[in-house]
Amino acid sequence: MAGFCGSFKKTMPYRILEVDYYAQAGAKELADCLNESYRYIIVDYGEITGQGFADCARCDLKVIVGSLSEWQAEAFLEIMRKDEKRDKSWKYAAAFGSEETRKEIEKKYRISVRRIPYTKDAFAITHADMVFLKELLGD
Amino acid sequence: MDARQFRKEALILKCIRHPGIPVVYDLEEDADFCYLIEEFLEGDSLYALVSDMGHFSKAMTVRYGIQICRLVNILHSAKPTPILYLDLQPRNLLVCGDIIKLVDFDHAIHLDEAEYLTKSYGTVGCAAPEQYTGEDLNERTDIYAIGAVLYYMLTGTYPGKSPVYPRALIDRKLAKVIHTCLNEDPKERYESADRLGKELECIQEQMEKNKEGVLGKDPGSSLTVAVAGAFPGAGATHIAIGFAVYLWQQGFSVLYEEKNRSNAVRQMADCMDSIMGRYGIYRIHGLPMLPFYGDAVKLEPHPYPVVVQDCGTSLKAFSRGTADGHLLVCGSKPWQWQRARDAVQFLGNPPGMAVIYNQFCGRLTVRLPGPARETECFLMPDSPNPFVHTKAAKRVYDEVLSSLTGRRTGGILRIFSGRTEGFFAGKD
Repeated sequence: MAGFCGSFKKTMPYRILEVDYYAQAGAKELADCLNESYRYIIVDYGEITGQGFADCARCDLKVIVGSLSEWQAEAFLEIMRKDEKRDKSWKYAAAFGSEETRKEIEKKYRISVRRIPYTKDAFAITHADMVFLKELLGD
Repeated sequence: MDARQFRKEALILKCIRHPGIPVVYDLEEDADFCYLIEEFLEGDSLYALVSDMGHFSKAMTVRYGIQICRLVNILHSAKPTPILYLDLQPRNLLVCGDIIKLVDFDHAIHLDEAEYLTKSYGTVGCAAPEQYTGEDLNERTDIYAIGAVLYYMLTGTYPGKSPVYPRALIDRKLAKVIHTCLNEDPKERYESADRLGKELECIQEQMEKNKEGVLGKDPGSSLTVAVAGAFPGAGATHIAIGFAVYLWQQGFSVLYEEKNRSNAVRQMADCMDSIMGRYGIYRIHGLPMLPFYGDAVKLEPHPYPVVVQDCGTSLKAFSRGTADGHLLVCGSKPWQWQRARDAVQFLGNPPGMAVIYNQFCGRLTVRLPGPARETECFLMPDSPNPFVHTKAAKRVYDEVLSSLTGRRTGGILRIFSGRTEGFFAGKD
C-alpha cells in the first residue's frame, strides 16, 4: 500500500491523506503512538485469535467486523459462541449477508450488528460512511 | 385517531403529487396499529426555526409565504373535490433545504365534508374564528391560517384577536396583506391562496428591485465571499457566521463554509444536537453550515448559490481562492493596528477586498490607521451573538452587501478609499 500510494519511505510511518500508517506494528510501535499526540489510534488486528482478543480488549472501542454471507457466517458465530464477557465497548459490524441473518444474530445474542455501507474505495468517505462511523463512534 | 380517519389521511396524501407534500408509499395495518409509510423528511419546523432566531426577516417571510400559498393552492385545487387543510400552523410546516413541506394531514377534509364536521379542529393562534363558532368552513379558513403563519414568522408570536403590526418588523404593504387574511369575516379575506400568493410575489418583486447589482433581481444568483482574520482571535468566524445569517435573513439561499481547521461547526453541531444532512451540512439555528472535511471525504456538491467561506487566518487561501468578494477582519484596538497593516500589505489588495475593523469602540479607538489605498473599511461594533444581530451590526452588513453589489447607501459608516477622512488618520 505504501508503495502504491507513492510513499517510498523505509522508516515508519508513511502518510496517506493526513493519516499515518504503521505497517506490521507491534507493542513498541503502539507504545510510541500512545506517546504521540494522535487523537485516534486504529489498530488492525486482522483475523482475531486468542491472544489477539486479549490485546484488543485493552482498546477503548473494540469493533469486530465479519461477514454474514451463508458461507462465511460460521466464523462470526464462533466468535459469538465463545464465552467471553463483553461489555458495551464491543461493537459488531458486517458488510455482507442477508438482513434476515443479521436480525437473527442480533436477536439470539442480544447485540447490535451494524451494516457497513458498501464502498468501492476505502480512501473515499461518503455521506453513508460518515453516518455509519458517527453511529459507531458515538454510542 | 381512529382507523377510518387514518385511512382518509392516507387517501388524501396519495392523491396529491407535489414537492411540498410528502410522498405516501404504503398503508399497512395489523391487529393493533395502522402504519403510514411515507417519505422521510429532513428539516426543521418553522416553529423551531423562529424559536431559534426570534423572527424571520421580511424577505424570508415573503419567500416562504409564497411557497405556503402554492402548497395550499394545490390542495384547494384538488380534483374532483378541493381539500381543506384546517390545521395550518408553524409546527406543520417543515423547512427542508430551502423548500417548505406540509406535514400532518390528520385534520384535512374534502370541501364537501365541511358541513358535516362535528368536531372543531385547528391550533389556537392560527385557527380561523369560524373554527371556534362552528360556522361553515371553506378555503378562506385556510387563508386565515396563512395570515397567522406569516404574522408568526415576522414577529415570533401569534396574532391574537387584535394583532399589532410593529413598524420595525412589518412594513405597511405586508401588514395590509396579513390584515386582509386575518379578517374575522371570511368574505373579506382573499378569495384564494393563489390570489394571496400573487400579492406576496408583488411585494417580493418590489424588494428585489431594491437589491440590484452583483446578485441581480434573483436572490438565487451566485456569489462567494471569502472572510479571513488578520490574526487568530480577530473574529473571522464570528463575522463570517454573522454575514451568512444576515444574507439568509435577506432571503438568499446561503451556505456558511468552514475552510479552516478550527472544527467550530462540528463543535456547535454537537452542542445543538444537530444532525448532518445529505451534503454533509449541519443546520445550526437554521443556518446551513458545512464543516471542513479532509480530501478523503467525497460528498455530493451542495446546491447553495451564495457561499460565505471562513478561511480562518489563512491569508493564502483567502487570496488564492475564486471568491467574488473578500472581507478581511482586523482588530480595531491600537495594539492590533500593526497586524492589520501587515495583513493588508501581505495580501496586496485583491479585487473586491474590504476590511472590517471588529469590536470597534469609539471611546477606545479615536482614529484608525489608513489601510491600503483603495480598500474599503467598515467598523463593526461589539456584537455578542453572530446568530442574532444587533441593529448596529445589521447596518454594517447592509453596507457590506451594498458594497459587494455596487450600491453603497452611505449613512453613518465611514468609507475610506485612498483619501483622508476626518475620522481616519491618513498617516501610517
